[in-house]
Amino acid sequence: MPRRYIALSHRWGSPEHNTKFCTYKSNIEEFKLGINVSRLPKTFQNAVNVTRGLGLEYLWIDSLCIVQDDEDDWEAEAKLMGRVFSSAYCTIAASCASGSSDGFLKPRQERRTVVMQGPQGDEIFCVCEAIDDFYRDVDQGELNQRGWVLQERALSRRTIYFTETQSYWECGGGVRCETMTKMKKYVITSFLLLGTNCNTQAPASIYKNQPILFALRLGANLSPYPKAAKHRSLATPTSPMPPKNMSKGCESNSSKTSMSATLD
Amino acid sequence: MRIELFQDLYERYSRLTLSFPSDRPIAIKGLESRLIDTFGTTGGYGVFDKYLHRCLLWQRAGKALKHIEAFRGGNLVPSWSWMAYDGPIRYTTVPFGKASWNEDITSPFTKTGQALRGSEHEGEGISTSMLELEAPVWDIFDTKDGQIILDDPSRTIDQALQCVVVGNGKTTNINGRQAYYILLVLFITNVNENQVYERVGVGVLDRRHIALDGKQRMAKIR
Repeated sequence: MPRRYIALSHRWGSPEHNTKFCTYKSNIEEFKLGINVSRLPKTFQNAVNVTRGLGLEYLWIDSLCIVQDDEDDWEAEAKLMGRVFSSAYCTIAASCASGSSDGFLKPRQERRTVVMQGPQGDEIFCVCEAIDDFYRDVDQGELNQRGWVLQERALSRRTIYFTETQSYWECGGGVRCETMTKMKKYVITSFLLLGTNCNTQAPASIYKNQPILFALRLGANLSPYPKAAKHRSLATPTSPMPPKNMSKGCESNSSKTSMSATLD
Repeated sequence: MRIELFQDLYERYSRLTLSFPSDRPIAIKGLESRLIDTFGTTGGYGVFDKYLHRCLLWQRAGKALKHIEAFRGGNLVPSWSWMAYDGPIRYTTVPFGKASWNEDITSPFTKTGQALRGSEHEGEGISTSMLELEAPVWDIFDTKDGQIILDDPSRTIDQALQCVVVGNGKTTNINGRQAYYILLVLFITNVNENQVYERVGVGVLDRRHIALDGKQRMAKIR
């Protein structure tokens, strides 16, 4: 049975301020036996927490799932990056983490609120600052200035962005904020234009000056869970299929370097 | 729509930062493959065979594009691909439906058919000759009042520039001129009696700028 996994979209950050926690030829065997979560840099720990919170067991992180000093592994895996993200159950974007050591589950600034009473005195209105700004927090955010992140975002089925102010949810249906707001501006129907079952020719004005990435939600036409057969052809960590004789701690599938730590 | 879409996407991508500029072809590969599939075409290195001509007409959007000297694993990226350079690009403005494209240009993807089609195997065992464009190359008389955009203006060019005509305007403009959309190319070498060129820029010239009445020379652009 295909297993669901989370993919992490993140910045490594400057080497001076961030722990470089990677899989190398020298530690891959050790990592396969298990990695204690407390050893992971903050951003990865947070990703583990979120993955567990979503009830999933698998998490894909580039620096751990690709052997960084193995040129062949890097070449092979880098080419599959698109599939890693398009096959993931969900992508976690560590938007507010400046690097691996920063973390993205951080205390936030409290929103100022005012409580008002209705004229009859029996109704209460709470008014608070508007903080929804997907453009500033995500589109213009530091993470989205990174070259690799463009396809990570465009190919993911759904992404949760953890930003300084709040988290945002993005999928083919649009963007929703943690504040429960639905961002109308970002609901773009023209993403279907690229799909095979699209008959409508929307005028260009629909997406002119709009963040076109949303028009690129190419995964939108895929079934929510790709058929197992589709995954079987991938002897890579993109395959959410762990071997049957999975040992506790970590597991590795057929590819010599593929690994994904189970979160238990 | 699709053309505007990939143009916007690639222009956007060319402005993003990469820790290793040499990752430029690979860091967008997954999305490129998906687009190739979605468009139902072949392609690679920023080119969709279906839209070959428009894909070739990119230009620097900043002061210069710096050629990336080495790619991971010794992979090759042809000079006609913007992925071979570091720096922002934009696509040359060619009004939709107003240009006729030169059918004499053959992309490497047309030649090899399915071989490079959105595949993960791309780049493996690919030789330079497999990434060549074939096209007629023409001399340029002069470029006065024409538009010439060199990819790297700081580069010293010690021979006459030649050009590949990618397409031309179907009608004449207000000044009675017909736009010729060209790639500027430089001769590099002869290989097995084939003349091999590299791309160094793009331009919009007039008919009178180009020695189109001369002898046609087929060449390879890599």
